[in-house]
Amino acid sequence: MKMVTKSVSNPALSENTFWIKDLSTSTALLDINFKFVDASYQLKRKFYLEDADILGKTIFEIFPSFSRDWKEKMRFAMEGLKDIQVMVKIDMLNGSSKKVLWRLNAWRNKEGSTIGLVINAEDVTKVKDLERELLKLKNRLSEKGELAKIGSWEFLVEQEQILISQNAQKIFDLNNCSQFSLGLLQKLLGENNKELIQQTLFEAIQNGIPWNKSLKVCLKNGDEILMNTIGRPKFKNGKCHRIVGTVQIVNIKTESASNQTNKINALNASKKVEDYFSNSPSAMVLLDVSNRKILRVNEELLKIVNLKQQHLQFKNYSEFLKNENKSTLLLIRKQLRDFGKFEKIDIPFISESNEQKTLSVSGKLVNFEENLLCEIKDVTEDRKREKDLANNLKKSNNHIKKLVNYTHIITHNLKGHATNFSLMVDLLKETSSQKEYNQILNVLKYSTENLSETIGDLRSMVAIKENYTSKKSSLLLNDFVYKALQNLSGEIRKVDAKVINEITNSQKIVAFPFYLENILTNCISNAVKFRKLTKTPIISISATTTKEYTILSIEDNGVGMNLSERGDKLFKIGSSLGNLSDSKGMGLYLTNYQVEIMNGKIEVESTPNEGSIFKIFFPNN
Amino acid sequence: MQKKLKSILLLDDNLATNFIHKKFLQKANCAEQIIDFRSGINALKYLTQQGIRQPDMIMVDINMPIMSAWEFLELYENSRQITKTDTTIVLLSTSLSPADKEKADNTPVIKEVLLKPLSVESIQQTIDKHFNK
Repeated sequence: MKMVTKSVSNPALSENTFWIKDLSTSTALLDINFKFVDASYQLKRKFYLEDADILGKTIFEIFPSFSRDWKEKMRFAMEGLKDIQVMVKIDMLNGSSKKVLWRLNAWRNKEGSTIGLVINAEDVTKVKDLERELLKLKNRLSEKGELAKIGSWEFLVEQEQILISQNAQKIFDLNNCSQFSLGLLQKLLGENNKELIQQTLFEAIQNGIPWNKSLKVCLKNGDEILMNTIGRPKFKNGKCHRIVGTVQIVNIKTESASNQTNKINALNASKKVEDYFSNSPSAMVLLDVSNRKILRVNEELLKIVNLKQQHLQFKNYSEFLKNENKSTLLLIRKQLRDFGKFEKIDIPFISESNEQKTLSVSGKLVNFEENLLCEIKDVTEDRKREKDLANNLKKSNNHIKKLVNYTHIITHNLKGHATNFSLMVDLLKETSSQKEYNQILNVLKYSTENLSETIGDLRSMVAIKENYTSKKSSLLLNDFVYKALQNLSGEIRKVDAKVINEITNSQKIVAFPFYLENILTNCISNAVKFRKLTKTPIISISATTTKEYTILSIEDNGVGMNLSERGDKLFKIGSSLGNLSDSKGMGLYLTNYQVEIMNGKIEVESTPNEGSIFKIFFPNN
Repeated sequence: MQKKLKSILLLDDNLATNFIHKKFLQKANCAEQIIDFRSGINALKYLTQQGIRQPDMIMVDINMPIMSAWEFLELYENSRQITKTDTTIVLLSTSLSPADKEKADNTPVIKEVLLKPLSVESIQQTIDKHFNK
């Protein structure tokens, strides 16, 4: 037989071994010379091997720790002895080592002849680790048991013997006595408990009823203790053969005493909280998170929201958050989830009397996250002040910007005048012709007038600053229209302009008196300046009152303008409408400036060659 | 010998400035005719007349009310009635803002930007630069 086997080169190599590849276990096939024929991926993965490393090599070459002494065992396996186990420690490439349990079995072909070995590796490092862990846990449990004075016991029913743990021995002050009879137990627990013990044991053994009972026990040293014991009967073949359970000391005196103190403390604490809550100078509300109900509110809160206790208590608080936007609520929810509290956040509130308020609310989850304690502050006035302040600051900045712009233009303008003067004086000196002399003088006169006007504008700008602090008042509009017309009477007469005043004598307007006069003068003057030379200038002045504004309209039939080209520049300094006549680009700038200071606005309608309408909106309040 | 131009058109809203510039142009003796306007509209009215000879040079103030130099130049460029020949456009300014400077650089028709007030020297230099090549 041996000869035959040898003459066939190697029957193992002609076997189909693909089935082994995907086995979930770490398995390999060895031929009769212990050379690897094939191995599962699992095995290769486990030991970081590849086919090229192992195929055709003996197991001793691959795993040097696989002692040759095991050869005998492998032979036994090949001869048919089943499931031979060999424990081998294998050093891994990464420096660690694994304990591996190898199972050896014969590998037979279809005909049933042995052609090699099937070996199976099982990593038992883990198992060993788990065993160690279990031991640790047992020790820890026993430590804890000792601290808590819990011991365990087992009652063997047939033998009527009791086995008790070390902790239980300590409880009963029994040294090195892990086993005793039922009689001794009854002695230990005292006559008083005899009946109870018998009854309990009977119920457990006969009816399988577990127990959890407290017994008063007098110990050897005379201490009276309260002992808690739990027992569970265990059945085998329908018969209770043992009862397992625990025993624990709970000192009756201490227990009840500490309980009482706790209760008193808790009462005091809650009374303190109560006092603080009701008498707090801050407004507070306690909410129930689960049903969204308002549990408690304090006096201060009632003052802020101007409601009675019964309007709030046990109401759903969502009702009061109707106006709140979702993002604020989401923010609050997120903060509560992440930190258990939320920082001050503004929430709008509309009171019964339709008064709009801004409440600053912060809150914290209390009572095991069941309740939300909120502190509330009425910041309506604060926010209003802040808003006013921001507005004023914005306005002031605007004024400053305008003043800087204005100063810039004025300086520039004055410089232009000065240069022109000096140049003209030079020309005047040089000229010999009387005609040219007169011409230069005329231009000088014009320039002087121009300069006076510029300076006049500068003064009215200063006047704006001076008058800014004076009060707006309700004025009779026509008084000021007449004043303006008087100021301009020379100009109006010169061009023979017709002024139609449609304003009734009772028409009132809210404005700074100085500004109103200035605005009217400027606008009428503009209408005169930009007249059409071919037509009689007609200027109509009218006023209408809406809920918000009193609107003053000044309409002319002058040259008009293309607003799409000029609209945005109209009220900018230095780019006014002048040109056909003289203008330094300040009139409309000043008018607009004054209107803006009074919180009004100007609208312009205009058609080139037809005329313009300037509408000035004065706010009524 | 400096070339004498046929005509120069002056456009500035300020009467005094226009007057002075006209005097200086006359002193520089650089043109046979100097026409001055104080508004772009009037200047355009003049330039669009039939049969007039277009000026050799137009000097326009950048900052004018109603119609700025930019608006004037746009209308001038787009006007079909004006036969654009060799007119040299010069921009006048007291101080050029960065925005105006960029705009002037990007407007090919503007050949030069001069600071106001002009002087006989600056006028002569400009004429030399653009006409005495």
